[in-house]
Parts: sequence; C-alpha cells; structure tokens
Amino acid sequence: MNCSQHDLKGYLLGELSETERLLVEDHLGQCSDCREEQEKLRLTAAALGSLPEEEMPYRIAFVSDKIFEPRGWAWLWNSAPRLGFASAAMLAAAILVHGLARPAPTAAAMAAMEARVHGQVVRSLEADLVPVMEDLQYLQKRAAVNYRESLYVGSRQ
Amino acid sequence: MIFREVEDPDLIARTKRGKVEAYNILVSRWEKRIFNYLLRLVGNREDAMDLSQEVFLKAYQNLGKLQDVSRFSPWLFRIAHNEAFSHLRRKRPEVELGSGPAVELARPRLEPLELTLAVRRALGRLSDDQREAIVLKIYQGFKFEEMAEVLDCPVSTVKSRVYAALEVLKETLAPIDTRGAE
Repeated sequence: MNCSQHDLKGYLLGELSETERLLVEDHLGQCSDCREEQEKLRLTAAALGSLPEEEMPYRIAFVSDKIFEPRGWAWLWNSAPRLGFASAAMLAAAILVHGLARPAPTAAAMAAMEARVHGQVVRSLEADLVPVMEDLQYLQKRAAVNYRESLYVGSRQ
Repeated sequence: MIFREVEDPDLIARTKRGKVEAYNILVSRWEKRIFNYLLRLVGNREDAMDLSQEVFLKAYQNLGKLQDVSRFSPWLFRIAHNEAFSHLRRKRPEVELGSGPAVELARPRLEPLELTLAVRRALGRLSDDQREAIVLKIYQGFKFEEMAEVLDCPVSTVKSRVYAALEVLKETLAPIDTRGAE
C-alpha cells in the first residue's frame, strides 16, 4: 500500500471509519513524508481554528405579527385552548348582537313609562305629607283655642 | 427537580402552532452560527446581519414544509447558503461563482492578531465554494453527508472542495507558528 492510498485529510477531519483510521495511524508510524504532511495539515487546521467567532451587532427577535404568519385560520383549529377561546368569543359576540338587535322603545311607550313613574312619585309624596298635614291642622286648632282662652281670661280681669 | 432543556423539535412543533416565543428561542440558539457562517462567506458584518434576518424570516415562513424536524440544522443552513449565494451574485454578477478567482474579503475593522489576519487573507484566496466548504466543515462541524444536504450536491463534490481548499490553505498557513494562539 503506497502513501496516496491513505486519506490524511479525511483522518484530520475525522471522516474515516475506525478501520481506515487505524490503517492511517499505522502508516504514519512508518512514513516520515506522511508524518510531515500530516503535521502541515494539523498546523493549517490549528491556524483556522484560531479565528474567533464574531459577536452579532444585535440580536434577532420576532414579534407576533400577522404578516409573518404562514397560515391564519389553520392555527386556530390546531389546539383545544384556541378552540375554547374561539367558542367563548363567539358566545360573547352572540350576546352582544342580541342586545343590539332588540327593538328600541317607542315614544308612546316612553311617555306611558314616564306617566307611571310620575304617578308613583306623587302617590309616595302624598302618603308622606298626610301625617305632616294632620299635625299642622292640629297645631292650628290648638293655637286658635289658646287665643280664645287668652281673650276670655283678659275680659274676666 | 431535573431541568430538561427544550429540544429543537419541540420548539419547531410549538412554532408551527403559532408560538412566536418558541421560534425566538430557536433563533437565539442558531443566530450566532448562521451569522458567522454568512460573515465568513460575504465578508461584511452589515450584509451578514441583513442576510441572517432574511434567513430566519424565510425559515419561519417555510417551517411548515420541514417534514423531518431532526434535519432542521442542514435545512436552515441550506436557506442561509441560498441567501448568501444570491447576495454574492448580486454583488458581483460578472464573476462565475465557484470557478472564478477568489476575491479578497473586505474587513470592516482591523484585528490586532496577525494570525487572525493571516487566516482571513488565506480564506479570502479561496473560491466561494471552497470557502463555504471550509466554513461548514471546520467552523460549523458538519459531516460530509450533512454538507451534501446543505449544498445539494454529491458527497464526492463536497469532499473534493474541502480537500482542494485545504491544499490552498496549507501553503499559506502551515508555515505559521500557532502556538501562541491556541
């Protein structure tokens, strides 16, 4: 087996099978030319390895943006929580639509409602005023009696 | 409690379900490798950064097409390869990529270490195909089979590119004493 049959670069790069690797190592022990070639390759790889990785000027980050999304509705049906959320949203929308779709009260209905409220307020006020008016009438009667009594006492003296 | 790092396939699955946060974790794992791969191909930090963003945007938009999630790494580098070579074609359309003379890489800032400069000059002497092969093999640690997947070419082509590049680099770099740099 001559030198050209030994894949020194593959050996350096770790691309050989275990059998091939052992054959190369055996050959390197016997051939000074191949040892020299292998040393050059090793120094080359070492020099390449000295090049540092560079830091990025800034990090890459993605935000939730519809223009980046490959599919829209498809994602909605891919998970149970999303489906649950969609159901809740549809229920909320139905309630809102029902509320908005109810007929608005007419002017006559509004007037009747106002009249009912007014009547209730008046009745409530009258009920509260009755005892007050009775007290006032009583006090007026008492004042009149006292006045007549004072006139009678004055005439006797 | 045993902490288990979330694996890439899990993050890919979550991303496919619309979790952008999962994709951001994936990006944070791979962005530096992709950036350095692109930087060593195009030789300019701003271009490498712009291309990196393009790569991750395209990966995000096409993630649904990735059938075998265990092949995410070669798939991502394949996108980066396409972006890099489209960029190089736009920059110098008169040069036939992969066969023309190598162009010295432009460097935006000076490095203090002479060895670093020597390595960069040596890489700049390679053709684009050869330099990419070295970057994928030496700096990204891909096996020949994976490189063939990234580059969409036979393993024999990958091997010949790497070996030819090593021959060129050896002439420049083998005489250099690297003991101080390791």
